Amino acid sequence: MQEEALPRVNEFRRFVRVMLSRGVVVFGILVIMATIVAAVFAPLVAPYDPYAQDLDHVLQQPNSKYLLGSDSLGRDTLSRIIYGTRITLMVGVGTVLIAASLGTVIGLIAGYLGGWIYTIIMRFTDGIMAIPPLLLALVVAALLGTGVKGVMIAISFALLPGYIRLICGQVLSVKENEYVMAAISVGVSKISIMFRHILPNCFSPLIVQMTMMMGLAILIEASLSFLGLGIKPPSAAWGSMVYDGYKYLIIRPVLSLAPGLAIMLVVFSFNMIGDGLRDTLDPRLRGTI
Amino acid sequence: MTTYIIRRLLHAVLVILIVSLLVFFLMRLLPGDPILMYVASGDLQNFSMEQVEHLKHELGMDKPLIVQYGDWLINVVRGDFGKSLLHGYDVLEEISHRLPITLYLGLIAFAIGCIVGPLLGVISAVRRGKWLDTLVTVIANVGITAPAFWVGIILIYVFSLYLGLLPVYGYTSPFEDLGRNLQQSIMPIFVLATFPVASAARQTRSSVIEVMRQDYVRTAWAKGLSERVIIMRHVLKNALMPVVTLQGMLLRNIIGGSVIIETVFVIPGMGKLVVDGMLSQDYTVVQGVVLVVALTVVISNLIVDILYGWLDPRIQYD
Repeated sequence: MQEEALPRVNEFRRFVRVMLSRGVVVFGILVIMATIVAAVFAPLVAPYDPYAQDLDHVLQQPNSKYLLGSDSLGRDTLSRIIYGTRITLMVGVGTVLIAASLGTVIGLIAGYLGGWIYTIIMRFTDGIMAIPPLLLALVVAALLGTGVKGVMIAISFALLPGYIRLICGQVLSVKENEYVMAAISVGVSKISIMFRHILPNCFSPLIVQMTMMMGLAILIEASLSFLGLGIKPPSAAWGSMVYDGYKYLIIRPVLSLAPGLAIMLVVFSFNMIGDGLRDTLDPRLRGTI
Repeated sequence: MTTYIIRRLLHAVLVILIVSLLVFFLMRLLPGDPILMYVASGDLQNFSMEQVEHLKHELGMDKPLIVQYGDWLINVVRGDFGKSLLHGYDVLEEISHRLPITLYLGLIAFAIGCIVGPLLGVISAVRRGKWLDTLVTVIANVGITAPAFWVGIILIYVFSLYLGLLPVYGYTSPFEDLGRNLQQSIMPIFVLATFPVASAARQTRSSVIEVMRQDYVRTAWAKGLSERVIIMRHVLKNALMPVVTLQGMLLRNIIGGSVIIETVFVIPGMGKLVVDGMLSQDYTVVQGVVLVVALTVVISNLIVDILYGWLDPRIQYD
């Protein structure tokens, strides 16, 4: 008996339709797009040089000249927030890319080869996961020295075990599929099976996890900078701006509140896009949305 | 069940060993010589190289790394975490004063997360699409995305500086002055509980919605059972399983979050100790604190695992 043909669905159109059907996801996409534009065109968008000090106009109230006021050195808060998007995006995207690529390779090896390699890798992963990510990032960042590079390595290290576990779990289930058995039986090399046959089937959860982790990476960076163990002033990192503003909380709350709100908005947007991607890419939900 | 518990215990011991290995070698292999930093940061800047070598010998830091690790581990097992490089106090003794403070605030926040989070999640799922659901979803998403230090600062601004209702910072033991302790602890606990409540609410909501689609729930509706019975007896039992798993992770995040909270509210707990230790590069302190934190996390995960096995009869013990 011939099977009834399933209606052809354009996956890309379905993807776009589902993603754009939720207001919060669209909001998230718009915010991230605006952040990217602000980061790329910061010199054109920012009203002032974020490092230029104007000691005659320190701690200004928000006014027509300084829309979000000025800090204790007379630097324009809005311009610093706009330039801060560069650090935020660089750390968010950079750390996730580093952690995801390393985690994918290690997870693939552990899941596919199994045996003692799996045991060693997974026990080390358990060990790293026993330390709270923020604490781990704090220790590594302090040891590597503050600065964008050190902070990025530290956060990547803290996020790494999540990716190893995710990919390893995926590989363990995907490698039982018949097409993998077929590839093994015709003598395809292990590397080729791992990267050409198994890896593409791990992409959906990986992309969702990457989007979600960008928010977490940004939060960790902001926390490190706030504690003085992240990106140091005068760099316009949002976390250290919140800390600087904290000292003048009574007279100029905007100095702390504005960069904090910026962090929250970007993290919220990444999480919403991640939620949208998860719903769109989840095969169990296909046909229902 | 006993075999399962023994296996989980052995696994926990192995994880702790790996953490000790990680912490120790991380401190030694990354750039920076702790002794030179100690000499440079203290009032010992006139130390000659011979004196530095002598100090290294005294602290056993001239031995091969693996021997140093072995010595350190044996001492730790004996309860000797070493002395603070900078201040000379006994690390374990300091930790024993500070751990109760962190756990006191953390466990209350955790309990709030365990009760309020799932409750909000169930309400949201049952009233799916209604204004209550929207409200809970918005609160949960804000709770997950708002940086803890920023929420703390807003609370300080509103409740301490603007309204003058609560003290800005500090900590008093509940045995000393309970009233003062409660006043000082409200804001830190609120901030610590924000993330657990928010993520438990999100997790419970999606898990309840998924369970409500199951056939046996439809059967329960068809039988004419009341909504309360269906939710309490049929849905919650299965829907709360993933939430239990989440709790182990949440406790880890609460302990991690104490680093921030204790700095913002100037609370003399473990978090403040590790931040101060890192800022002054006091490695024995950092090593000790990270190990104790990991131990706390591993023990709580162990409890969650055993609880999970007990709650869900489908879990295989072999």
